[in-house]
Amino acid sequence: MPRETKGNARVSTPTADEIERFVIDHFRAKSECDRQALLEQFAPDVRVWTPLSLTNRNFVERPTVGAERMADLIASEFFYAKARRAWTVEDWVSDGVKLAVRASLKAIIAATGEPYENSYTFFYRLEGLRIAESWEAFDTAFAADRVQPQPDSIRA
Amino acid sequence: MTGQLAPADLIRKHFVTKAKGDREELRKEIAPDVRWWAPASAAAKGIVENPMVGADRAIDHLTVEMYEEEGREWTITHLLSEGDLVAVRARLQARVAKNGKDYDNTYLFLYRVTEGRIAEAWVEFDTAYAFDKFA
Repeated sequence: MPRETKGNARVSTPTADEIERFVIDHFRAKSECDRQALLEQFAPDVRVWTPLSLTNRNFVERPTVGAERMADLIASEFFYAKARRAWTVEDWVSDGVKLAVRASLKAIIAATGEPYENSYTFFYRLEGLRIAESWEAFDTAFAADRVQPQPDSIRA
Repeated sequence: MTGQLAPADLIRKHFVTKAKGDREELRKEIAPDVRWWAPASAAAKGIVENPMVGADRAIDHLTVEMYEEEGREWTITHLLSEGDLVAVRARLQARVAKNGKDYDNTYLFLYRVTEGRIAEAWVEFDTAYAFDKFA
C-alpha cells in the first residue's frame, strides 16, 4: 500500500476496496447517528465547507471545524429527526486521496416533522481513511425553505 | 477509438469550451441523448426541466440561457476520475444574463462519460444564492 508522510505521521493511501467500505460505513454512520464511528471517520481538525448561503442564514458556521462539532451536528437532531433518516449512496469516485460521493437523503425535519428528500454531492480530501476536508453542494433553496436548525438538540 | 480523449481530459476541455460558448465543440463533447440532472428546485421554478434530455437542450442551457458569455469564467478547483466517472468542483464567475448581476458560485459536478462523450451529468450548487441573483 503506498504511503506518504504528513508531519511526523505516515499516512497510507487507501485501496479501492478500503474506500468502498469507508463510503458505505460513513453514510451508514450518518444514517444511524453513530457518533463514535463519525468521530473515527473525521480527522480531529476536519474543515467542512458548507454552502455559503446557509451560513448567511445562520444554519451553520463556515467552515465547520473539528470532528466533535461534525459528530454533534450529524448525530443529533440539529436538522433531522434520528428516526427514519436514510442516506443512499448513488455513485462515488476516488483516487485514494480525494473522494467524491453523490448521495440522497430521506429524513424527517426535526423542527416540523415534515418529510425531507434532497440530493447531495460531497467532495472530500482524505488523510488515510479519515476526512480531512469536505466541500458539499446541494439544493440549498429547497433546504432553506424547509429546515430550521435546532441547536438545543446537540447532546440533548 | 483513435483520438478519443480520456474522461478526465474530456471534462477539462469541456470547461474551456463551455466558458467560450462554442456550440460546435460542445456538440462533439456531449452525447446526442445526454441526460443532464439539475437541482430539483431549479425545475420547480421552471428554470430547467429535470433531467434535460439531448445535446441541443444541454447546449442551449450551457451557452445562452443563464449567464452572459462575455467575462464568463469557469475555474476547476478539484477534478478526479475513475473509470467512466469524473467528479469536478468548480467556480463560476459571470454575470446573470437576465439582469447583469455579478454571480460567483461553486459547483460540484459528476459526469458519466461513454465513448468519449458526456452521457450523463449531475450538478449541485448553492441554489439559494443563485435564485437570489436570478431574481
